[in-house]
Amino acid sequence: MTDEIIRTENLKKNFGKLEVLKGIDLSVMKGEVISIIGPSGGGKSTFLRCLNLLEIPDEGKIFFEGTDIMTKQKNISKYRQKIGMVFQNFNVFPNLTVLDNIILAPILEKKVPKKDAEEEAMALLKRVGLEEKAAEYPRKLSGGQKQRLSIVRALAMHPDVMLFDEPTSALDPEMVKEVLNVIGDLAKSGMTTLVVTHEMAFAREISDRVLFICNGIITEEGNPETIFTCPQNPATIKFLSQVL
Amino acid sequence: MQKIIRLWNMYYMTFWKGLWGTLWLSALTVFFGTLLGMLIALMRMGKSKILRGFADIYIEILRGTPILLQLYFFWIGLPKIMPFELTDTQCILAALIVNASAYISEIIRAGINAVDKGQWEAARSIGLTETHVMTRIILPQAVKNILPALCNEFISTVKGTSLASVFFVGELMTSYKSVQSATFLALESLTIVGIIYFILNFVLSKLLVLLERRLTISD
Ligand SMILES: Nc1ncnc2c1ncn2[C@@H]1O[C@H](COP(=O)(O)OP(=O)(O)OP(=O)(O)O)[C@@H](O)[C@H]1O
Ligand SMILES: [Mg+2]
Repeated sequence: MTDEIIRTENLKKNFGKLEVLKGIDLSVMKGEVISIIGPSGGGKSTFLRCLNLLEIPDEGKIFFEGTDIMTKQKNISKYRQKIGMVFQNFNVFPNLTVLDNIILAPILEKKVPKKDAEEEAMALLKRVGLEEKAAEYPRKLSGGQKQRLSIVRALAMHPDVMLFDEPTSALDPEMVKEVLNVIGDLAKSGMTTLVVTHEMAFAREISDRVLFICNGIITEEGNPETIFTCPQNPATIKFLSQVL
Repeated sequence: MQKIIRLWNMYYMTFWKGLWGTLWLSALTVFFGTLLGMLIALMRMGKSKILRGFADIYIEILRGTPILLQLYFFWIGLPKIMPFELTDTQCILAALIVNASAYISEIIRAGINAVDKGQWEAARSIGLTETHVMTRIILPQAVKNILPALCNEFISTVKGTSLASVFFVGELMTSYKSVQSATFLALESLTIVGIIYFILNFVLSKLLVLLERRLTISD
């Protein structure tokens, strides 16, 4: 639990003139569960997307298990295999069945035999209660089911880290819980997890650490009790008073 | 009217041959135009500035000059630069393909751009290589947008091939010309050719509607 898995140093990202990340320093330990909260437009999503190089940072460094991943970008897809990501809008592949959504990447990129990939996919589907939907196309799934599918699609690659960007924000209220349960179980099982969320109770329950990102910097961080009960930074206080 | 029927009875073989020529020319044009158009579209969306610039200029020139001029250009120019013998038909076909590829590449590009950006991100985030992102996730979804537009392109190609008659490449308009010069019944043979074109495109656009319905049902 004490090995560092990801470290960012002075991470900066601009979109044109807009400075979205203004220098983020973070060290993530193996197995750590980190929630990221903060006001809209603060750069939370951009930060997560930098971590798997969906956005290329303009300045600063990202280390994964000690290696600087920005200098060896040749094998960007290999790196991304180790980082699973779940999006607000699910982004399941509508042209593939539920099962094929899951086995596509293991077969293509990890050369897993089809039979083994299918077996594992079925086990994963069972774990999230979707085994009966294996042969369906995603259009037949509810939002919560799509999101559970997108989580196991990422898990099928055996990532070392999971990133969640507001995984329940696009869901109808009655489906939020089923998805949070899956994420919670995963976090408890020891998966290194970074989750951007507006579900404060959930963040408080599962996290080892909470980051408050505002205007492109981490303005406050700490264990959930401290952040939620006696925040220090005025921006955090203001934000929490609005959402709690 | 009777003249037309008599003309048809005498020369239907010529017209059939012309129709066959038109279909064949159009099919080859759209098929190879699609392959070439795909290449141009990929260049246009790629990272290389040089290839992107080349593709831009290629498309602008082909869309900015009359197709008849392009046909003449290939008809005169191609045999001069090619080390082997070329028939008129081959030169004209090459011109038609190149012309269609410019339009088709835009169809393909628009079809790809219409795929949700989130699909790219999700496909990349699970570690697919760029090639697999394209071939397994983006293109299969883009086909739904591309296929109907491609059929439209086929219909306009059918009409476009009539210009090939200028060079006596065997297709419908050429059959009109040969029947007309044999019988001097210009209006009558033109009517027959017109009816054939109309029926052909009518059938094709009905097929297109069917195809579009199939594609939306599977959504
Ligand atoms: N691709 C892009 N091009 C231009 N601007 C962008 C892009 N992506 C994000 N931005 C801008 O960067 C800023 C930070 O965006 P980001 O999505 O990281 O914020 P966020 O903290 O995730 O907010 P939210 O809670 O609304 O999701 C916003 O002002 C946004 O408009
Ligand atoms: Mg966001």
